[in-house]
Amino acid sequence: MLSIIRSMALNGVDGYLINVQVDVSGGLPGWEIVGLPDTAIKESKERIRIAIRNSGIEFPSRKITVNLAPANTKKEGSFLDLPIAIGVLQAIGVLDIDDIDTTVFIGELSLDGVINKVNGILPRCIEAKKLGINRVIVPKENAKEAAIVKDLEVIPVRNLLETVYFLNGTKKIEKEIVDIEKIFSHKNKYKYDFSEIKGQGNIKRALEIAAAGAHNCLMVGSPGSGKTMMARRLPTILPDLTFEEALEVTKIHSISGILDNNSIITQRPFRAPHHTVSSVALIGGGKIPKPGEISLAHYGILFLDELTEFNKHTLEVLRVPLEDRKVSISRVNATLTYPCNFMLIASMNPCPCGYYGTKEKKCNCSEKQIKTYMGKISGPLLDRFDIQIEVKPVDFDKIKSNKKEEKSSDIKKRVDKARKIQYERYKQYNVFSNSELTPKLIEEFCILDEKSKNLLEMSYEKLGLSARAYSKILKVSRTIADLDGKTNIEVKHVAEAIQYRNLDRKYF
Amino acid sequence: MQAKVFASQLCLNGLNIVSGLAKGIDSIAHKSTIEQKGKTIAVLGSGFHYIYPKENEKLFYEILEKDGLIISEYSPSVGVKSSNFPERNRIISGISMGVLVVEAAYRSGTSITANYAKNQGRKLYAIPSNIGNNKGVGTARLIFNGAKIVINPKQIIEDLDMEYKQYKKQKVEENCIKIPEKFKKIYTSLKDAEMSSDEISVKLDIPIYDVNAQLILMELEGYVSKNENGEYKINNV
Ligand SMILES: [Zn+2]
Repeated sequence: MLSIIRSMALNGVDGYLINVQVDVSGGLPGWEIVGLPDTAIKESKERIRIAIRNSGIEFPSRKITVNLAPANTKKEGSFLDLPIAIGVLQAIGVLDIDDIDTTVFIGELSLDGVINKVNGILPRCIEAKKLGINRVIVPKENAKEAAIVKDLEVIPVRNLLETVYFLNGTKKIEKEIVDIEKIFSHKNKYKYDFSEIKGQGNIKRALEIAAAGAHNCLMVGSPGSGKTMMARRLPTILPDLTFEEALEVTKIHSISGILDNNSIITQRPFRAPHHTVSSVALIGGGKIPKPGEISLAHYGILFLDELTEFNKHTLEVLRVPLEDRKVSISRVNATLTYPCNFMLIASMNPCPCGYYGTKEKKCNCSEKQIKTYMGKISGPLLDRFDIQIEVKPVDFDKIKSNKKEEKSSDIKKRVDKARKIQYERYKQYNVFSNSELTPKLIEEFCILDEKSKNLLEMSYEKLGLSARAYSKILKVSRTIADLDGKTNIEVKHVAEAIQYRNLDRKYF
Repeated sequence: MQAKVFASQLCLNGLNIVSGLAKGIDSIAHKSTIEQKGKTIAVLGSGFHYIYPKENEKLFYEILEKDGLIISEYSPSVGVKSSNFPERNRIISGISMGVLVVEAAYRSGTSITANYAKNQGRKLYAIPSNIGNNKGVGTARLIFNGAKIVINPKQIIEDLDMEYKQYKKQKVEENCIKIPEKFKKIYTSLKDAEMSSDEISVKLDIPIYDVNAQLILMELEGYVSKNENGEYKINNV
């Protein structure tokens, strides 16, 4: 007898439907799985057989043929264990499932029949719903994540036997329900807040501008000046994720298998890979392809601490995805694409010893050593940072202030307002923030009056700004004007923007 | 800025100011002289068709327009070669009555010039500076090796057996002491201590964005500059 069970596979961040066709017939007992299964799926035969037997069901000693359609895509992973097992039981008459065409099965089996969690449940379920599937039967551990999808009945199952009882109608299993609105109303609980940092008004301001225009930012400062502390708090002043954005972020984390219990991610991700990270871990890929850190940072922040310590090659592969906001990974028979629209925040010391230009300690580095050190970061990569700023430890003796520090939520209000202005302004250009402006759009929207032009020209002459700072100063001035609620860029906006091009002046 | 004070006053007292058209002190020396309508000579380390550094192209032509002189021992088509720069320093010292070292890192080009000056029997002056400061190490060494310490231009003029004309000093100071009203608050606060923009903002209770914008404007107009630690200081002339 032939049975057809539906399941969902993954390609990049999207699910696609798989028909698991199982035929059980007379003839020499044996198993065959066709339709481009990878080795993990081929190995599942034994696992499924033992899992069925250990669930107390007699395994047929007949010829079993499994076909995975469509046959032209390579299927990876062990998520087909459950659908194949169900297909066998349906084919031999142990099960007689209603709605078999509109139900999807996903799950990995262990030898005792327990159903284990699978990565990427969310994207699979989103696509299933689009294809007209009403019901998904998924591992209990994945149920909350699946339940994010609206109007999809999610049945959480713990083991094979329970699944069989449920399908036969002898056991009731409550469908999983998640209250998205409730989760979203609790979303702004961050562990950190900018008000915890005393002083550092300059960096706070620079990060506020970065957040307001989605500008990448490079912080240069001696060890212990608080670079990491500042970066960690950046998500707290970024605009809230929309539901669509949250869904996309959750999808990627789901595929990577790092989603915690709370079904949907509502906070902007903050990813801080160590400088020993491999290119694959950073960019994505691998034998069983996974999104890299840059995709896990999608709609959030990628923080590279000690930028000069990273492998030079690793940093170079970052450049294209930074530009494209997505990354393509070539596979043997396909190309995967993961989104990676993130803000890049990086930190580095000013010199090899870390104390160049500080008062705390004397820097012993030669000019040549400092040049070599700075040279570790290529010009094109450096060009990706609109804002470059020096971070200095706070000298409390000097300021002696009891001023109350501003809360993240207050800063966020200004950021939100500035973002909204940009969103409206660039509506028809498929651009969302000032950082994304192309040279043509800069010409159109970052217009300087005579006075500002003169100021900029003078800065080149007198402050030794490099020519490549030009477009960055314009974009950052635009953001500063937006924060100020001004339609036109004014002299004070340009002057302030020049302050955030520190590196140009000091080293290059 | 010492370079500005010395160049201005020496040229006002009738000396020609010779330097190498390089960035930093060289440029300041040329520019200050032109400002005071004095005469200046730039000695190049490359041919006339190769003005180096590029950003001083404007200065190059300004020197010529303002009755100055450009000298090069290379034919116009010789390009920029770093090894030629120390060489040309022997001409700088050679055509001068004396050499004044404003700042010199250890083993820097300036130290080389000083050596030429010594061998050519030229007078050698140095402005003392903090030894802890990298740029001052070379100067300290020069002084140790016999350069004359000078703390004002008058000493040089008198050492050259000329009469120092005090009244012209006024002119230099005038240029720099008129502080526009809008900058006064920050400028005055920097008189007591050199401060970062953060510190100024807290001390004067002015929002950081205002302080940052004003400091750039002040810096461009020459009222303040950044020290090695990235703090702002007022420019005394
Ligand atoms: Zn150092």
